[in-house]
Formats: sequence, structure tokens, C-alpha cells
Amino acid sequence: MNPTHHFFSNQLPALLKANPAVVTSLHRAIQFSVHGDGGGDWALDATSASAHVTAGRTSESDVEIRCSAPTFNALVGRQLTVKQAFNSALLTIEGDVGVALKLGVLFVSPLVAYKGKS
Amino acid sequence: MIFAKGRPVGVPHLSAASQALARKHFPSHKTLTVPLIQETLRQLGAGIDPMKETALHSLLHEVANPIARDASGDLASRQSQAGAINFGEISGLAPKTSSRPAIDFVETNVEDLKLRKALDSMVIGQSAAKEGLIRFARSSRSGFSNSPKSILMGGPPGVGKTEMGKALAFAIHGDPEKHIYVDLSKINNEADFNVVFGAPPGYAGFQENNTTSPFAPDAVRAKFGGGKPVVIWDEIDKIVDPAVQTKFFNMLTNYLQTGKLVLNNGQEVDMQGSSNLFTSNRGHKKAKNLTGDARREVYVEESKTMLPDHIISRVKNFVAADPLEASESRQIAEMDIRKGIKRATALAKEKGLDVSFDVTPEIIDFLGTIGLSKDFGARPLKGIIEDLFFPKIGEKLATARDDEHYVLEIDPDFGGVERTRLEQAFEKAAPGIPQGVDVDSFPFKLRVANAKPVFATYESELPHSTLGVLNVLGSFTGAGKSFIALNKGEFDSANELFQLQPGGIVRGEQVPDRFLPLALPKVLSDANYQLNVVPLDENRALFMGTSLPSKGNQAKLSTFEYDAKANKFIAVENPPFALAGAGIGSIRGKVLMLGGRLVEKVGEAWSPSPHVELNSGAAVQPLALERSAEGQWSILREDATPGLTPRAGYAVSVHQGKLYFAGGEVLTEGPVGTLGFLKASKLVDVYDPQTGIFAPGPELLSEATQATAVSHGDFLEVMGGMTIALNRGTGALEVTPKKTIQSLSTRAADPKFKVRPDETVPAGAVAGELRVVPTLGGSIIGPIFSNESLTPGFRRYAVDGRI
Repeated sequence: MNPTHHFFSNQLPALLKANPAVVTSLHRAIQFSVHGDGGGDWALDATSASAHVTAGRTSESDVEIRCSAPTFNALVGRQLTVKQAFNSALLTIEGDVGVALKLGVLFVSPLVAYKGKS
Repeated sequence: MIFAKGRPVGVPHLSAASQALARKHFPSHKTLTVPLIQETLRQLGAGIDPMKETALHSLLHEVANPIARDASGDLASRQSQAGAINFGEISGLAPKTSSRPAIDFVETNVEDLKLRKALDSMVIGQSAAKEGLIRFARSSRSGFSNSPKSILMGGPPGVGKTEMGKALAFAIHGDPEKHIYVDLSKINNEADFNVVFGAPPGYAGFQENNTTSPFAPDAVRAKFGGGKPVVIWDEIDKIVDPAVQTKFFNMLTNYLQTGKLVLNNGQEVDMQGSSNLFTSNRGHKKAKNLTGDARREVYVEESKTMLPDHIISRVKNFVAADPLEASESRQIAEMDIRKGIKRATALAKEKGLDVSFDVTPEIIDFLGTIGLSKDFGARPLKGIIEDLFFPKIGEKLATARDDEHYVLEIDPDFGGVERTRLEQAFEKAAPGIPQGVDVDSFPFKLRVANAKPVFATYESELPHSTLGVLNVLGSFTGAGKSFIALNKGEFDSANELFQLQPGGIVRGEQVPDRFLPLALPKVLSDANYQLNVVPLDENRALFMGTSLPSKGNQAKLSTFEYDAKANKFIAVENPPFALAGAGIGSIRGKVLMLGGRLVEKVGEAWSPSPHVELNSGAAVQPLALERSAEGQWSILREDATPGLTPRAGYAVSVHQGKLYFAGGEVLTEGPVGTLGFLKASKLVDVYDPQTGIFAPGPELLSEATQATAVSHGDFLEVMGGMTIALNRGTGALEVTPKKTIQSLSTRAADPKFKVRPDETVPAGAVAGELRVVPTLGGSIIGPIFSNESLTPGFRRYAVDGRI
């Protein structure tokens, strides 16, 4: 499975489950639009405690980030941050830019993040 | 060439940028021709004035390749001259015959340029007086009469009037000491007068050849070798004895009329064609509360009141110098210190030691502050530098070891009450060291700087979110404190400002850093894209917030100056664009922004553009913005960034008086019809505040974009960042974070970046997110995340881990 599909199918759901603080802090709907080979559309609904990820597009999102599959793979691999990708013109943002630039927390390994100090 | 080389092109038919260049470099020409510009380039000579050279080449290119315009005069299309002309041949500077008027014009400008360069390198500020002196020198050259030419320069003491006379000597004779200096303030009676003009027969000290007088014929010949003498008559207003005054003015009348200076023994000295600069402080009290032209007028009018009409009619040229501003005093301090350092280094060399010295900007700021007197201008500064600064260096020379580089810095413990006391003591003092100031306890400390910095083990915990993330936005030191702006990284958290009280190891105990929250203006707290913090001077920093709103197409810029002493934010002019990845730095109160990408809305999405570029005919150059010390933003002209490649993602640092913009990423064009690559770059651009232009510097050893840079003693270190290679055609992307530290020792004869073998970026640093946070006495670097807990911290980065 390519890193992007693995991220939306396994890694992100695991993070949401293991680290409810992320959902509490985010409380928004995010649309990911990843184009090119290995890409696709995914919607993250973190507006309630039962946060979930679905393939496809949602009609209402607070933020949408759009990038190529290689760029998204680099985000998932933590080789790039969202802000770096934006600054390098590899990614565009529609909606709440402030939230989009902080989405890097979603790519952190859930086990490490869960140990984060509160 | 087949091209009509001599065909004149009207200035209004050039592009706007070239029209500006034509007005500057050919002010009296309505049309330009290729031979005219070639000849001007030849006269200028290669490498003498790179800024002018670049401007002339740009003009040459456009005059040789005229631009088609429509009837309204707008640019219609650029005529393609490809293949029709060889730019290299056009600019080949073989001497060619040229029309006489063009050569006259060039010669005039070369002389002006020489004097302007001399004035700018020797005298800080004084633009009005400098222009007056240049006009005077120009009119002196253009006249047919060989009689002495004179100018009187009024103004407050200690502002550089005498130095301007030396600059005139330098421009004429290539040596600032090739002038005769007459200190008229020392002529209190007839005996003093005779010292300068020789004793008359029958008086003690009479010598037939008047060898003691600086005007003795042999001395004049030896100094000027038949060339036109330069005489500085300093402080003409200080001759108060009426008998001496009458005698002096009589001598002067005859001299200015005939060019013959008659010494007291009757000898006639030929001073034909001499340039005479008279200085005067008269009007100083009257002008104290005035500004600008009104103040200058007082100095000129007051100077005239002390002169008889027959002198006024012969001096003719009157200009006035201005009082010094604090920033100018600082520049004078720097200039004098650099001169002194040169002397000290030469002295060390005589002892067989290859050592060098430098000073921190804080010392220059401090000396600039205490060395400026309301009554004596920058004169106290000279005394301070001689009496306080050089003894420290002299002491060190006795024990210096070969190949050491020393930096004189202000003792980190100095500040507060002690600093205020010293500043007050100097404020009221006449030139020299005021009473009650202990020279030995002055807060200067000399340390060896070319010991390499290392990361210390002590870590500090930063304010961070429950999510274990953190963005360090910016930082600066001001008013003796360290400040850091950060965002804790929760999705709704605002930007915050803290005063950082650094901890460290104190008497064996680990003292934690403390972060004291300070208020930020709401628009800065809410800036959702970026918040840049740029230091301006020892008390102030510029905060530039950028918000990219969900609704609307305009980025919202909010710019404030923060006064750390008063803890106050003042809204100021915004930069003209919102830029992503521009290199931002400041030096001597100016802020420079280089390259970057325009952040704009495409459809409904925010999307940075390709690099912002200026297209100046042949060359594509990065956009460069400058914020003046007065707070106005402007776009720098193309000739300030010659030969630079537009990039984004620079690592920026001030290093040894220059501003370095290292690495970044560059767009390369592919073959026709393809998009090419986005690639990290090795290029380094260096801004020199002395010349106001950027120039390519030593390249990085390996490509890095979005790295961070820190200056430490001799070393400029570029840490981390990443390499990036995007094939824009296929979309293939390779990104590799970098752990290396690329280090440049600018002291080396041929400075080159090398990889530090003994240090790497600390584990846990996120590539591109690393920031250098200056604190008093050293740097800390972060955020660095512990693998165990994701708790972000700083690491000390200093020679001894000291903070």
C-alpha cells in the first residue's frame, strides 16, 4: 500500500483513536485532495468526538489542502511540513490557512504523540 | 557590427528602468548611443564601480536592442535581435574615437565620482554639504581662471567638515594627507600667526626659507609636486584678536586674488589653482533648535557676518554641514574602530603575529551612543576610542598567540544602572574621558573568537501544546532582554510573545529558563500564516504579521515596531507584498527582503507563485525590498542585485557587518515546452551595507533550502534545512532533510564552506523548522523534540556552552 493510502486507511484513524486531544483541538472538517498516481480524495470529520475519515469528498469542509501524491507522501514521511510544502509552492490551501499549517500533528506517529506532555 | 551602433536612441523611448538609469548616469543627454556608453564604460574601467558598470551594461544592451513602442509610447514588443548582435562584441571596450563632448562629460563625471566615493568612505552622512563640495569642485575644474578657489563650510563641531577637506585632497591627489592644514583656532596672537606664516625678519624664529611654515615653497612643492594645492583653513571663526584678524584677512585677500601667498619673510609661494576649504562653527548656538534648510541658512549667514565683503566676494561658495544623528555617530564609531583595527593588525604583523581583531555590534552601538555630544559632535568618540578601546587591544598584543582571532565585546554583566551612569557621564562631558569614569573597569572584554562553537548539553523546555508541537516564529534581543515569539501549535492557539529569561548552569545548579508572557497586538496574535520578527536596533524590532483570510483575495499585512524598552507596539508602514520564503534580515537599522514568492489567491485557494523576479532586459534578478531606517519600504533597483539568481527559502544571518542570504530553492527552466526543476541551491548572496548592493558570495558546499544560519565569531554556519528536487514536468519529488552544519570561516584567505566534522544538527530538530534564538551572550537553537516525549527544547550553541 502506498504511504498516502496507508495514512488514510490506518495511520490517521489510529491516531484519532489513540489521541483524542487531537480531535478536541481540531474540531473541524478537513478535505484532502491528493492528485496524481496514488492520490485520491479523503475527508476527515473531526467536528465531534467520533472523528472519522472517509474516502471521497465532503460537501462542507473548513479547510481543503491540495497537493500531488509525491508531496503528500513526503508529508506522511515527515520529510516536509505543511508550511514548507506551501512555501515551496507544492501545496495550496482553501479555507482556514492557520489550521492547515498545523495539520503536521496528524502525521506524527500516534504512539509518540500519545506520550506527549499535557 | 551591422547594427547601427551610433544611431541615437531617445531616452524617453527606453524602458522605465533604463530611463531612470539614463537620467542618473547621463543627466545632460536626451539621446544615447552605443559608442557613448562604450566610451563611458572604458573610462570607468573594469571593477572600479560595479554598480555603475552593471547599470551601463544594462543601458548598453537596451540601446543596442531598442524596444518597439506603440504610438502612446507604451512598450509594444521587444524586438528580437537574436543573432543580429553579439553583446560581448558590443561591450568590448577597445578604445574608439568618440565625439569630444562625450569625453568631456565622462571626465567630469569620473572626477565627481572620485570625490563622491572619497567623501562617502571618509565622512558619514552630510549629504547636503557633500553635494555642495562636489558642486564646488566641479565648478573649480570647469573654470578657465587659475586663481585659488574657495568654499566656506559652516556647521556644528565634530561633524566631519575637516574630513571633507581631506576627502577633497584624496580625490585630487590620491592621498588624504596631501593637504595643508591650518588650525586657525590656535592663532590667538601675532606669535601664533607667525608660526603658520613664518616669522618676519628681526623676530625670533625667523628663517630665510621658512622651513617651519607649512607654506614654505619646498614643503608645498614636496607635498603637491606641482599639482594644485589643497588647504584646510579650520575654524576661521576662532580668530578673535582684531589685529591678527585684520592681518589674516589682508593676507587672504591678496592670496585669493593672485594665487600668491606672501610669507612673513617676504617669500612668495605659488598657490595657483589651489582649493581652499574654510570651516566655521559660527551660528552653532543660534542654529541649535532649527532643522534642515533653516539651520543651514543660519550657519551660512552667520559665517558671512564675520567676513569682510571683499573676502565674501572671493570665497563665493558657502555650504553648511548638519549635526550628527545617533545612527551616524554609530557609523563613525564603526569606521574609526575599523581603521584602528587595521593599525593594530599591522602592528601585530610587525611582531610576527598573524592575529586579527573584531568588535561586536553592541560595542559599536555603545560607543556610538556615548561618543555623541550635543556640543562637540563626534569628537568625544575619537578620545574614547583612543583611550578606552585601543589600550585593551594593546594589552592583548603582549600575550597574543599566532593565528588567534579576538573579538572585543561588552561584558555580558554590564547593563542597567551602571550603563545609565556611564551614558549620563559621557552625555555632559567635553571631549575625553569624564571624571569619575574608571578606564580599567570599562565593560569591554576581549575573547578568542575562533574557537569553534559546540552544542552544550543543557536543554531548556519551551511552552508547547498538549499535542507536543510548537512553532518558533521569531526572536530578538533588545533593551538587554531576549524575546521569542511562538505558536504553541494547537489548532486554535494564537501567536504569543515571551520575554525569555535564560537559565543555565549557575554555581553547579541547573536553573530553568523562564518564559514571561507579554501582550501582542491582536492582529499579530491572529496572523495565521506567518509572523516575522526582525531586530532593528538595540531596543527595537519589527514584527511583520501576514494573514491569509478564508474570504477575500487579499493577504492582510500588519507591521509594528516594538520598543522593548517601553514595551510598546507602534503600527508602521507595511511591506508592499505578502511574500513566502523571502530572505528577511536587517543591518544598520535597514530591513532587506530578498526573493521569495508572491502569496496570492488562485480561484478559492491560497497558492504561492513562482519566484518574484525583475526582468531587466538581459538578466532575471530577484525582487529585493528595502525598509529604510525611517520606515519606508521601496523596491531596490536592478543594479543593487546584479547577477543574483531569484530563490526562496534562504537562511539569513548578519555576519561580520554583512547580511548573508544562503541557499534556498531555485526554479530552472527545462527545454522548450517542459517545466524544468525546482531544486535546492548552493548559492549565497551577500548584502554589503557600505555599498547598498548585493553580490554573490562563497557557495555552500551542498544544496540546502529552508536552513537556518548563525554567525559566531569568524564562522557563519548554515544548519540543516533540506534538499529538494521536484521535476515539475513529471511531478517526481525527492526531499531529504539535512543534518550537516556547513561552516564558512570568513577569516580564511579564500573563504569556502566546509562541513563541520565534529557537530551535526541535534537529533529531534525538524528540518526547516529549526530557528536560532539570539540571547544575551550567546545563541540557543530550537525547537528540538525529544524522541521520548516530543517535549520541545532549546540547545545552547556557544564556545563554552555559556549563556
